[in-house]
Amino acid sequence: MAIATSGAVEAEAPERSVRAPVLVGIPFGAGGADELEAAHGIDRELRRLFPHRSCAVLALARRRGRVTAVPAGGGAFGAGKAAGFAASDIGGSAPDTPGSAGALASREAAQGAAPDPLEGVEEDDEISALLAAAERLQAPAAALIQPDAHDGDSDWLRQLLLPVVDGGYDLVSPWYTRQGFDGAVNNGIVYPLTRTLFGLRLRQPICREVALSAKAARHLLSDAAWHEELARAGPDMWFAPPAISGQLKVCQSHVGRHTGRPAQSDEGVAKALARVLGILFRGMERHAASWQRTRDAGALATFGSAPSPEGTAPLIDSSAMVDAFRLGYRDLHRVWSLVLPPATLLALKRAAEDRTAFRIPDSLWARIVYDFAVGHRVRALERTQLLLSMTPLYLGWVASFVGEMGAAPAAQLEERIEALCAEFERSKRYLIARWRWPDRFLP
Amino acid sequence: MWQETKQVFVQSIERAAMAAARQLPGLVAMLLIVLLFAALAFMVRFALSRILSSFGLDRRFHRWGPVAAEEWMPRGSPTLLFARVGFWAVLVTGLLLGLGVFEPTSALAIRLLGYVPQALLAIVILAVGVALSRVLEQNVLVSAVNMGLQSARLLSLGVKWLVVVLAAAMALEHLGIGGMLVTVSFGILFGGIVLALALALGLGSRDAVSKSWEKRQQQREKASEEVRHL
Repeated sequence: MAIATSGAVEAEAPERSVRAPVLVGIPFGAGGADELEAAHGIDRELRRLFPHRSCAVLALARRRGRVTAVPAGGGAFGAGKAAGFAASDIGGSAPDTPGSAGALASREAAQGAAPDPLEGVEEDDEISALLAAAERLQAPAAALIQPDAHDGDSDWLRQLLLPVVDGGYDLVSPWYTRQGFDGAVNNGIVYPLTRTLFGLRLRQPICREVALSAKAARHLLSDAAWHEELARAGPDMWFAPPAISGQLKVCQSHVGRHTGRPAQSDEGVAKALARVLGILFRGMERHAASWQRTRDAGALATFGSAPSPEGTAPLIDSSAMVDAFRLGYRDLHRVWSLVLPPATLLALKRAAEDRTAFRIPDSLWARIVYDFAVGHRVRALERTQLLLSMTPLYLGWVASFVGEMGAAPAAQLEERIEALCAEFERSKRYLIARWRWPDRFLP
Repeated sequence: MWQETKQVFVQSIERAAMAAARQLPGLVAMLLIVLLFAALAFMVRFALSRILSSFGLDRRFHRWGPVAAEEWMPRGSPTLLFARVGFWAVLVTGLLLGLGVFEPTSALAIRLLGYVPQALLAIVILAVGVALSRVLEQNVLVSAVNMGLQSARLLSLGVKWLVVVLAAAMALEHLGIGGMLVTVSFGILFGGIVLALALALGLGSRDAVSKSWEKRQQQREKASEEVRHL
């Protein structure tokens, strides 16, 4: 196997067959026909990608509030093989009957005499159930995937799995191709913050898909704080802090376009932003000792090829977002004054009153994010309200970014985000000072 | 005639003097008790300040408290609040005990003493109401701004004062002041506000509200089409 940074991962057919299966977990809802079909499709793809390696698809099904891992998928689903790996690979477990949700529940009834190796694997969430199954089966690699988030054309499963299976990496984070200004929360907050805090140039650090090695699985299973965070954060996972604390070998892979439904459409911008910020700020609090020591971000191995950006960034009417910012400044500046220092409030006042060209400079935006992180830490006001009150500021930043980059060549968007990250990194000393002396250090 | 009148006056004055003389020991005793408890109150305040400061209560409350402490505490310090509560609790206890030894007014003191638990509960109701009103004010303000409502500030102030008035009405009713008058007044006030809002929305501002909602919906749809934030 050969791996080239920013290139495709090339697999070489291994000579030997590995008995312990590579696990791929799929969150199952009701276990309907479409989910089973997706599991079958993943199973077929796994057998095509890794013909000499044992692989298994696990349905991560929630029953009575607990998530269990059940063999699923594959044409041989009901005939002695489960999801492309022989029953003997996991100790003789026989599969369920396909085609119904009840099939997942009747694993015990369908089993042969051999004990079920996944018996008793019950966790609070999908990733924990997958990790527990991986540890139980001593799997060399495990991946949590969302089949409905990908189009059929891309080689995403290979790009996600291969660096762990054959490349020696512990954690592979997906990098989805986004269009225009999509993923603004990631571009404006999550990516710059992750890069500044932990020195990881993970382009999309909060994700719902991941591939992990056995070492990473063991580390995450033993990380009680990470499990506590999972219970609060829901399906979105931020792997940067545990990756640093566990000294895991991290990389990212281009996995094509994200075709799934965005979470924002279900919960609205304010709640989605508050949820993501909560994940980041709680992580900052838990790993404060670690990120205060971290220096500049180094290069990160990246696999797969990103489509070269073409055309220009879309022209977007940002007036509604500017109005939201101005309304926020008018009514929420008293709330913000509990978090932001006077100099920042003055700069925001100028931005709100400027009728010619609405702009929020990078240095101001970086400090706002840092001040809210400090405000969250010291509980300057009730935490959910604090995070929700940041929405108008965020919309103001998006309006400023969109206004500045609208109709610019699409290739310049990435350069502009790099400049923003550099500003976040330059302002890190400000963050550290405010974090250490929240009451005393007010410039 | 003059002599008889003079005698009646003298006897009245003597009775008044005797009555005053009979109260004097009780008055002195009451003053002594009040002075004693005042000194005790100062000691309690000092002790509470020192103990709570050494425990780091202000810092802990600031970190773990549910809402910003400085909003509803003296100088933003829970230590100061507890010290003051301790001081006044001891002083009021001393006054009540002093009233108890003040014989002629002992019946009044007993009635006042019986009234104290109700008064304290009324104060607690009012304090909880005020604290709740501030939290709700902030929550409503942030939510309304995020919904893009131009009258977010007005709405949050309305919610705040509604809760404060409700808490005040409950406290007064608990104290037995005003009787049904307070309840009926609050019912009329609250019902009137709701009716006025309903009429304003239903008749006067129907078109304006409808247009505003349509505009917001269009803006939301337009924004969701153009920028995917996550």
